[in-house]
Amino acid sequence: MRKDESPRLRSIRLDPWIIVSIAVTAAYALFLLYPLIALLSKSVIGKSGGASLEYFTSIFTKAYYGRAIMNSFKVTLAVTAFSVLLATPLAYLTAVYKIRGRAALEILILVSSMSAPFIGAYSWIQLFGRSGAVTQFVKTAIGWRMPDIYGFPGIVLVMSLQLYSLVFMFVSGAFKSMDNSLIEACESLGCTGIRKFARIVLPLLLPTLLAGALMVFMRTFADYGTPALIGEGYTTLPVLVYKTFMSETGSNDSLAAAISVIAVFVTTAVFLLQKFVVNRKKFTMNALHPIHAKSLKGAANVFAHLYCYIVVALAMLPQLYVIFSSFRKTSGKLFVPGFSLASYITAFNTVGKTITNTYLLGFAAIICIVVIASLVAYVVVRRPNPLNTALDVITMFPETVAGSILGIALLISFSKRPLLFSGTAFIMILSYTIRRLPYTVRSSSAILSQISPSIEEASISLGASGAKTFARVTLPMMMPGVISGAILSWIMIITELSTSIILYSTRTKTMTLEIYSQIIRGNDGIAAAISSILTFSTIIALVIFFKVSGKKEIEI
Amino acid sequence: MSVPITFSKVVKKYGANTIIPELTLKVSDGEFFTLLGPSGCGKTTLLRMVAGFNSIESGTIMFGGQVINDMPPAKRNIGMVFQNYAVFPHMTVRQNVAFGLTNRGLSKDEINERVDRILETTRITEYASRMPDRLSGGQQQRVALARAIVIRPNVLLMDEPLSNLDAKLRLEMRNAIRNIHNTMGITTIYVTHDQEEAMAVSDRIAVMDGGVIQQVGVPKAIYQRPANMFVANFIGRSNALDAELLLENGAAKLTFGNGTAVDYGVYLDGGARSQKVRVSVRPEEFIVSKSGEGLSGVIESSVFLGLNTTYFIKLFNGDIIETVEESSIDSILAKGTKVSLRLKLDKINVFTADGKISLTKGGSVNA
Repeated sequence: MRKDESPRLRSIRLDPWIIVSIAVTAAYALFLLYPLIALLSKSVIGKSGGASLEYFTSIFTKAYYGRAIMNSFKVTLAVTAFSVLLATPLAYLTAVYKIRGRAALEILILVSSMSAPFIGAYSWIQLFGRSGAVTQFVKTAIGWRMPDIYGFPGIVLVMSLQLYSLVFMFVSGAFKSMDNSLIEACESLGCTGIRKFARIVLPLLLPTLLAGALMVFMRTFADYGTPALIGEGYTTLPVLVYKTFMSETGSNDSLAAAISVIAVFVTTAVFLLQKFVVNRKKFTMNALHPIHAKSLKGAANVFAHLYCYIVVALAMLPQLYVIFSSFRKTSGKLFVPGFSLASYITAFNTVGKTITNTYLLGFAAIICIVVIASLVAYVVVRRPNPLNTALDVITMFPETVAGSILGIALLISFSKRPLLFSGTAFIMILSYTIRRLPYTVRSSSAILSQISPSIEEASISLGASGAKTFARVTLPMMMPGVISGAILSWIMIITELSTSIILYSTRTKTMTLEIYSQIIRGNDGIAAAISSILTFSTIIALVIFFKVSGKKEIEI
Repeated sequence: MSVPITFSKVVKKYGANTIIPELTLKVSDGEFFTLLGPSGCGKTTLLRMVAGFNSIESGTIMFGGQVINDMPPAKRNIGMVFQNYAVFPHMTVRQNVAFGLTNRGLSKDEINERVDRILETTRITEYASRMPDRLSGGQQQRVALARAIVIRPNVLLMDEPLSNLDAKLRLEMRNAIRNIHNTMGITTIYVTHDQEEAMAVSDRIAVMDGGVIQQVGVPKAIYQRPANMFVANFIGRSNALDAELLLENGAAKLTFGNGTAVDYGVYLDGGARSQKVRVSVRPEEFIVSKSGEGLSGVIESSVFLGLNTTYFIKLFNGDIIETVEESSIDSILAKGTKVSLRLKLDKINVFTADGKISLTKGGSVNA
């Protein structure tokens, strides 16, 4: 009997992964669950101090709040739809047909994805706003007043042209793993053209499209900067939450908390709905024969090229214009004819610290993310038990929590001793890590579940310890998945505004925050200069990534 | 309706690389024709040219009297079975099988009736409403086959359809494929690198190497009268022995290194001249004895396989050859036993010294 029991007991006692699971779960309980519960309790404790639903009642009875919720929905659905409609044909054309300059297009799309949406909003205003360059030109040239860019159409335009890049990267990846035999089988059975796309290609893409769409949905729903700049009274939920929480004319934490709770319920519902649909539509594919791009001929070729070039050019336009503006001569806050480097000099002199802040905070967060995500992915995939299932759910949950809401929750919870973190770099890194971990966990688990456990067993049978096996065998094999997730996390961190705008202090101000405050103050030259520095440093980071990894493209 | 397929001077190039130089071949109406060869020999390339997924750089491929070079795959009325099945993962078995029929705009009743019948023929009726990820490899392959033949194609193309299956299923599926071909009678081109599989299913086989057809013939001819040393080695196992052919006074003497000479006149092709030759002897074409008559050798090792016993024998010149004997109830010949080997002259094949041309009657490239 002893002999039978001892191996089981030993494996329970000695499995160090249990410690990993417990440690990460404890950290999440303190840094995520506790703040969220604090937020929830704040929303249901009335002015009198007892339990009350008065804040919820006032939200649902005042048209002002209801309208913001509806606005958020309208904007989010429109942006999600447009992003998918823009990106899917683009990914299809570049995967299936030979498009000249395809590599350059992919890099441009990648670069544009790493820009913060509100910078796009600012740039579109500079071009097509009331006193925008193009608007003024058209007005003086032909006397025509262009339609207004502010409000709903502006937000949708800016966000779609920004976030289509994420869908593109997802769908392009799906085309790379699509089995060409399926398409050939379809053709051999007499199905071509649009029918082929509708009956085979689209259904095969659906799980990926839904994943991309969900990401766009969550980002749009949570975005604060774009509606704040170009919305002009078209108030969305994050703007409302921010205004309510930070208002100088009497902030109302409880009301903000109540709005946040509603928003979290909504996004969680969408998240679960997406999971439900994906689970019903998912299937496995083995890409034995990847798709080879073919040449198109005649008008179809011209059309395909035009589509790709125009979409990418439109998406790049705001960034190009920002770079152009950054070199213009300024006088006070106004642009004057001629070019100079003055904006850059001012930017470096006054706000140089934000550049180092951005990278230090970003790197610290990404290191935490990579370490925690690969450990979490491992225990979730390889050690299925109730604790790890719970861990999977908790680490994924922040995806459905809008940034400003997480910001408020953290601030409410950690502004008192002994847990006084507000204003520190720690709380910034914490918020980045919690919010952006899910992407890396997901891609790491995906790759791990494709690696056969027998590889680890082989390593152990050859005498390597569990820790050594993880470090020398499992982790290197997981790396491609970890890295592609980390890149996505990185994109989200350096373009982050909505959480940090609530949590930052003067010592932890980042580039996106600085750009935003310079825009608000009307210092267009400096804002443009910092935006350009952000873009350039992104490109440098990408080049380093390509050099170090020896890769030619980034897969998500 | 099934059609014959004619290849005339077909060329396939990738850039400056010629994969298939001028290939000519005729596949008869209703024939089960196999392209057999090692990987990289151009067999799949040729099949995909018939399907329309690869371009044809020069020459023509005809279905019946119609040149199909520039016809898109969807218009060729072909059924294709892929190596990895290519069953649509988002459709049920029934939807997969019905897919080609719905593209042809048939009525619902007719589609249902034809799908039912083909599910019955391929014995997958019970899985009709399953999704592919809940099917085994063999079942998926049956779905792929059903999907390809339900459209009543002019030509059925199969690209290594059994290579992803385990040995037992492979055997079962190849019988199923053969039976279905017998009932449907569709002209079929089948690609494989497995010679046993090729012989089991085919009416005729083309053995390919380097984009060139080495021999075309019925399975029996390919095995027993290979056209060159490549075919002799690729199909089954062969030992190669050097010898000298001497034609004198109407007799054809085959002399081996140790002086053993045999008269090969009866089996020699009419046009053969005296020359150095290479003789291909399959393991079962030796008669091992202790009589001292024939090629001398020493037993190196033996493998008992039940039905047969394989011996590895070191010949007088140091070559190691392999023989196979029906296992006898007596003890196995021990290592070091001196033996002599005679040849079954009716079965061996004689080639030119470079191994490229057969000097044996019936060993021509086209049969």
